[in-house]
Amino acid sequence: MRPFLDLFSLLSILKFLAAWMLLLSFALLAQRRLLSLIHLLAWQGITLALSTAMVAVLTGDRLLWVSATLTLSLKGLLIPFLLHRLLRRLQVRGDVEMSLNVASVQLLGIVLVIFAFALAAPLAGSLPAATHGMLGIALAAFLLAFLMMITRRKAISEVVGFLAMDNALFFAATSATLGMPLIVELGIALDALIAFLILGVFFFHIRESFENLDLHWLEHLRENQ
Amino acid sequence: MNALLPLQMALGAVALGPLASLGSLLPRLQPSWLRYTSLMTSTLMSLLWLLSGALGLILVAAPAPNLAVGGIPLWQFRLDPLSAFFLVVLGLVGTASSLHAVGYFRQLGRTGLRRVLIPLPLFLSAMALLLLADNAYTFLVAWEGMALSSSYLILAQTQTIQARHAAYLYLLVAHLGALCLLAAFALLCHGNPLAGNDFSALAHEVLAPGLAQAVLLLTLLGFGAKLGMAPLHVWLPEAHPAAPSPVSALMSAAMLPIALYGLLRIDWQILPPEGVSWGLVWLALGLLTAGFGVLFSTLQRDLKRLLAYSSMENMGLILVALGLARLFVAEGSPTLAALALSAGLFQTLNHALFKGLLFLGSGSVFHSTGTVDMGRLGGLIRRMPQTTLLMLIGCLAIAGLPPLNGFASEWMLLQAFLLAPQMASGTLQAILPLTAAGVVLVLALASFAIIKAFGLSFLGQPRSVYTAHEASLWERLAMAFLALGCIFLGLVPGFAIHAISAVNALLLSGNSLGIQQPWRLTPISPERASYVPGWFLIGIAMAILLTFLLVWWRFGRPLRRVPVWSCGFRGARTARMQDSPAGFSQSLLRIFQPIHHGRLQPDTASKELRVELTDPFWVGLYEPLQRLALALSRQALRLQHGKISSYLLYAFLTLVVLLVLVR
Repeated sequence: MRPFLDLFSLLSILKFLAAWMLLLSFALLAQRRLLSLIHLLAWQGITLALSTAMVAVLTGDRLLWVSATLTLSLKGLLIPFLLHRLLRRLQVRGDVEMSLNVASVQLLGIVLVIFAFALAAPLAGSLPAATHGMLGIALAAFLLAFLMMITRRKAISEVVGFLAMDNALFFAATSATLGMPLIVELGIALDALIAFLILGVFFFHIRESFENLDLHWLEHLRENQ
Repeated sequence: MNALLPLQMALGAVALGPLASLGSLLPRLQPSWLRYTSLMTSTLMSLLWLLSGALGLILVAAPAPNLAVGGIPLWQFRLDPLSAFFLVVLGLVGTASSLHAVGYFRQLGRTGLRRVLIPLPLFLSAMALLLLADNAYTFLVAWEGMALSSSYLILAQTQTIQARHAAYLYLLVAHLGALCLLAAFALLCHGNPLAGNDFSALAHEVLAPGLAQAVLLLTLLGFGAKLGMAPLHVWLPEAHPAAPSPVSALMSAAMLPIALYGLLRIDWQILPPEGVSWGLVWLALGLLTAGFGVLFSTLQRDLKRLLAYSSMENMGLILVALGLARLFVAEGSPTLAALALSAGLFQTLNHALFKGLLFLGSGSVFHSTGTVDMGRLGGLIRRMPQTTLLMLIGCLAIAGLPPLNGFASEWMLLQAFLLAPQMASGTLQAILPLTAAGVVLVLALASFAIIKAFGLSFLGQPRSVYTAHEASLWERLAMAFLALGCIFLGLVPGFAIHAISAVNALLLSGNSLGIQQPWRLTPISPERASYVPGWFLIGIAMAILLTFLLVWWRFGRPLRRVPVWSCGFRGARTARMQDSPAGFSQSLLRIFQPIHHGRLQPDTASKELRVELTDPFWVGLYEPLQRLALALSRQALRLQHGKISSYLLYAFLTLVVLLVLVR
């Protein structure tokens, strides 16, 4: 396929999407409302799909289009929709409690981004020159999602963090290394869906047992009180 | 004849073990069929080992040929006189235990039988494999196989909480020992136990002196744990009573000696004895084990527990003999070393015979009466006359009475001590008589313990109401086999010492005791302390016959039957007027109070006094260790909050640290 945009602008778009991805990660970290969290996750999925599409244009790999479509439908639409429905059925309201205040978490996040870039710098030598920054961003997004999981206390936000981690890994795979075998992608997508389903069932059980989705009730399950 | 034939025969028998235990898994087998086929296979295996061991002792080819199978890992086997001697021990005990088991397990259903018959052939095979192993890998695999299969066997009869506790403790100590052995072999093989160096190649390698000391220490701990050596003995008095009796017999009479085999193989053949220090350590630990074992054995109420402690005592004595032999080698008197070593090995063989017999007999008693509590037994001589006779032979042998075999080996050990003043070193001249006095005390107490065991169980009147029947034909056959062995080796001690001389020649580079006449026990020379058991037997038989005839002729005609004198007590004689287990050993309970902290506790249910003993090693060594382990675990528990976010944090921090490390 002949590129309809020149290489330079394509790469610029890709880099812009990467920056957007990182920004969304920070937004996820800062957002306190569950509904907005799910929206942000949907946006992250759409960004991921767009960047995969850009890579598809860039490399001319037809299979990557399939991957982009899958990503869009699964991560951009299906999972956010399911989460949304779950939220309505569980009738969860209100804010997410955080164990640290937003400002400190954001500061920690910045430290993590610097750390991620420092880590990625020596690895970048083995990658295509155009994607040097991508690996750092993917790693940073991954660590930020992890941080989000650590700081949240509601079960749904843990799942959002988990899915964001999955998005970051996906982003690392497609953007930094310019595509991976479709079968691996399908596998990962399926894994994420199944994890989501299991956690969804799990929510109902937590709720049935504790009448709440707050995870600190789980502390009573440990062996010695 | 093919020089490899005995080895191939023994290995063939080893291969039968796994087959037999797989065979027990076949569905729809009649329990009796299962019992006969599996146990007859075990008997056949043991007989083959007995035969190949005997051939290995007679056909001494130096160096013994080696057989290797496989690439990496490499299995290597060799049958030299040392292995052959212990293979004979295993064969004897294995045959008797398997035959006894045919009768002992006759009431078990298919599930119960499988609990025994799956691990039992594996246990036998692992022990034989260990004796045939010729490199570190084969040795360690067999060692672990032995520990695992025997821990299943401990649980084969009862699955009570005590039995499970015993099996767990056994497995724990066995694994600690195995770890020590693994470390020792790693040091011996320069960090690569899979390299496939056979034992004779290891013997030629020169180790740094520090490393050699470390190996000696680690192997002493590793084999000592299996041997029941004093601080590591805690599993032994728990495991033996829990196991079914044929298994107890195997563990006590075959598995404990196998630890001695390992000690001789590695600490003697691979690392030849040099210097007196390790000899003294063996001597001291042996004496400690023997004294401790015999003291606790006299105070027991449970027959099998008494026998278990007595095994500990015997292992201690053998360790004393081996330590003495080491000292003699270091002092440069090879003839005396040969004497002490022969005494130790002969005692090993004798212990296998009489302790096997006694454990099997206690099994028959358990099977017949349902208990081995000496406070409940009594008067079995009228209910089980043949078992009692066989047990009496075993008891006389273990008590060290001539003309039976126990006397022969103990006499040799004492002779070795008595000849020690010929040694040069002044310190040793002072230490050895003291040790000899300790050994004599141990032997005397051992006789006391065994008189207690026999007297309370078989003589007098029943202490409780029970039904008893004579042991089955299979059980009596097995016991008679071992009893005949006791008598044979007692009457023909020169035969055994001659067979042992091949092992002496291997371990003492050609030195051995002088030519032995089979009918005569000759420690050093015919002029000094030698005796002919046959003449002794004839003499003692004549004396008894004459006394009997005299009494019969003078007082016994016509035969009068009168009531037994009841010590002036008016009214009925009851069984409770007899000595109780606690009463029998009351004096020892008082004398050795500071060691065992034993107390008499009233038992309100049975209106009896019971002895409660405290193992000083348990209180002084194991409980502090346990507390330490618990305290450390409690510290580790602080990590476990139950908070998902902190678990995530652990994962996160681990990830970050790893990322920093790999970059």
